[in-house]
Formats: sequence, structure tokens, C-alpha cells
Amino acid sequence: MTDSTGKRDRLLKNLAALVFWVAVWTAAAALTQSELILPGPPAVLRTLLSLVQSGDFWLSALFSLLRIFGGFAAGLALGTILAAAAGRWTAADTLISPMMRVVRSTPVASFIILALLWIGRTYVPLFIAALMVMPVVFGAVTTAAGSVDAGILEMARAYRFSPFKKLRLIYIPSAYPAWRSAAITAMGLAWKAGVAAEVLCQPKTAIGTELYYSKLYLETPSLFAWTAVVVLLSFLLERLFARLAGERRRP
Amino acid sequence: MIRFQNVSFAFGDTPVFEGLTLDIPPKCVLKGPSGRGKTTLLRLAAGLLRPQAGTITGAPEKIAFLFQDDRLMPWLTAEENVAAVLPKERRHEAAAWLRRVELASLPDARPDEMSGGQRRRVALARVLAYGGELLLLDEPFKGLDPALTERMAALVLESGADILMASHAEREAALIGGEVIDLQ
Repeated sequence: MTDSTGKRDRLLKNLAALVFWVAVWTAAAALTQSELILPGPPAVLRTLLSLVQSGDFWLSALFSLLRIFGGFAAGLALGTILAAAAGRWTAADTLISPMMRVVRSTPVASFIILALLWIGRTYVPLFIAALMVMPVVFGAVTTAAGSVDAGILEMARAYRFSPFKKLRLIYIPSAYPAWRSAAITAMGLAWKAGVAAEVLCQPKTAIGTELYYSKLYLETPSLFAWTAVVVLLSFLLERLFARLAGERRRP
Repeated sequence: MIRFQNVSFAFGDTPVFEGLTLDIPPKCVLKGPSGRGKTTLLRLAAGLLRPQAGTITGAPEKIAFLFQDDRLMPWLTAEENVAAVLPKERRHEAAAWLRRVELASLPDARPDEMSGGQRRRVALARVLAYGGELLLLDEPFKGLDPALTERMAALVLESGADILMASHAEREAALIGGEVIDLQ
């Protein structure tokens, strides 16, 4: 099977799965016969079309995107830097690892409420997105760096690689595949947690705020439409990042 | 000459050497069955392992080590693996070293795209390119046919460096020459 045939087959299968689930959704909506409980695809599509025609929609999407992507980038950078520090200095590892475990297991709602008190509603989604991403990346990078082939490290000792050369030629390429897949997973987490933070904090222009209003005014089609926007943006960003980060880094 | 004096070394509770005293001449082949400590002795000579007792003296400053298992970086190409041990201003020499080990056509191949014999020659090119005063060679011609082994042994001798080689094969020992130490 050639690559292009394989791609076409996969696309057709995905399309068939999409058609199946839209049919299930349509049938379920027809059964409930209530837009309040479960609006059907046409109602959601209508709402979405009317939303995209307003300038506010694009502003909300843009600001949410900036906040959450900003948080993602900050979390990615911090997680990577802290993992490097933990790998380099035992004292740093002793200090950082327990903190990461606490962050990972604390309910996101607790952090959202605390952050609301500390930094005000506008930056909470950014902070929360960073907080969700950081331990995932930290965990993946420290595990990958800890499992670097001991034989290769001994070779580096024999040939007297400098610490920088070891980092560039051994640690970064060894940890890169784990870093990349952790970053892709974390991007989905950043979106979920970031939008949840927006719903709870309602910054001025945000997708989460619109979701909150949809709930408040019982506009279920609007809730579905905004959710679709979140899913679509998350999917697109994930694909874009995966493409930018490449399959395998060549140092 | 490298001198081992009363050297004891153990991996955990498993002793490898106990009170080993040995003078290693500039050209020397270590032979003996598997598990007798040939590789451990090379690693001790390179300073990669520290003896629990005794002293090792006389090892030169710059040592090139050909490990038994190649230890090429799988994410780098053949040329990049050789260039990795060279200072920046000499990295361009990597291609020439690959030519010398008869791998001119494979500079961009990664280790998983090469045969065992090709990987061995990349590792050998890395050792020779590094230009150590002492070459520590652990089964250097493993996986090479007799004709290629002869040509590679000639390259090793051409380097002019001191050689300490571990090998099972009598023929390889004869190609390198020098004293044979039997670790029976």
C-alpha cells in the first residue's frame, strides 16, 4: 500500500466515523425533541454561523487563544528548564519533584479559585494552563533524561565531552521524543483547564465567559457551538505544534 | 607503559581482579576467555572505572576507546558520529575518516541503517579521528571479513599510537603484533 493510498483510506475511515457520530447525535436530538436538553446538529450549526459573523466571536477566540497558548508556552518552557535543573543538580530535584507531584494531583478548581484571589481574573487561564502543562513536561523530560543509555554516557566520558556537548548531542536528542509527545498531550490539557478557568473567572473577552453565559441563559445550542470552537482550536493547534516540532529532531 | 600495581576491582560482590600487578607495554594484546576481565581492564586503563585498591599509572592524557558494542549515537549519521569527537575546527575531517574505513558512500546513514560491520568501522573511524596517544580496542574487528580486518588493522597500526587490544582471535593479535597477555 502506498503512502497516499494509506492516507486516503485513513481519511475515509475518519470521515465515516464522523458521519456515524453525527447521525447518532441527530437521532438522539430527535428523540429528546428539546433544544434545551440536546440541540441537533442543524441548530448548533445555525448558532455557530451566526456567532462567526460577529466581531466579538473572533475577539473572544483570539484572546482565549492568546491566554491559553501563552500559558502553554510558559508551562512548556518552565517544565523543560526545571527538568534540566533537576537532572543536573540533585538538590534541585529534591526540591522540585515533590512540588510537581503536588501540582499534578491537586484539583484544578482549587488552583483556579486560589489564582483568582492572587492574580485577578484576566490572567488566571494563562496561569492555570501553565500549571497544567509544567508537571507533564517535567515528568516526561526527567524520565527520558534519566533513562539515557549508560553506554553512550560512558563513551562521552571516554571522549571527554563537555557538559554542553553532552546536553546537545546526548541529552536533548534522547529526551526530545518524550518532550514532544508530552507537549502534544499537554496542549489538550491546557485547553481544557484554561477554558474551565475562563468559565469560573469570566475574563472580559473569552470563550469560557461565553460558555458561562450560555449556561446562565440556558442557550444550549450556543454552549455546543462554543464547545465545538474549543475542540476545533485545540485540534488545529495540536496539529500545528506536532508539525512544527517534527517527527524526530536532528541535532 | 601502563602499570597496574596491586589492583583490585569488583562489580558489587563479584571480584574481577584481586591484587593484579601488570606492566602493559606500548603495543599489547589481551587474550583470554569471556568473563576474565579484558573489557574491565581496558576500562580501568581508560579511567572509566576506579580500582577499589591499588594504583594504575602511566596512562597517557589522550585515550581513544573502541567499545565492544560500538556505542554510536543512534540519532546521528555516520559522519556526525565521527565529527562528534573532533574539535570544531577539525569536524570537516570526519568524511575523510569514513573514506579511510571504506564507508565513503554512507556518510548520511544512521546506525540502524547500517550492518554490524559498517557500524564497527564507523566506531573505528571515530577512534582514529580522535587521535589518541593510546588506542584501547575492545574486539576491534568483530563482524569484519578477513580481508577487511587486515586493511583495518593496517590503518590502526598506521596511526602510530600505542595500542592495547582485547581479542579472542589469534589472527587479529598477530596482525597487531606486540606482546600478548593471557588473562586465563
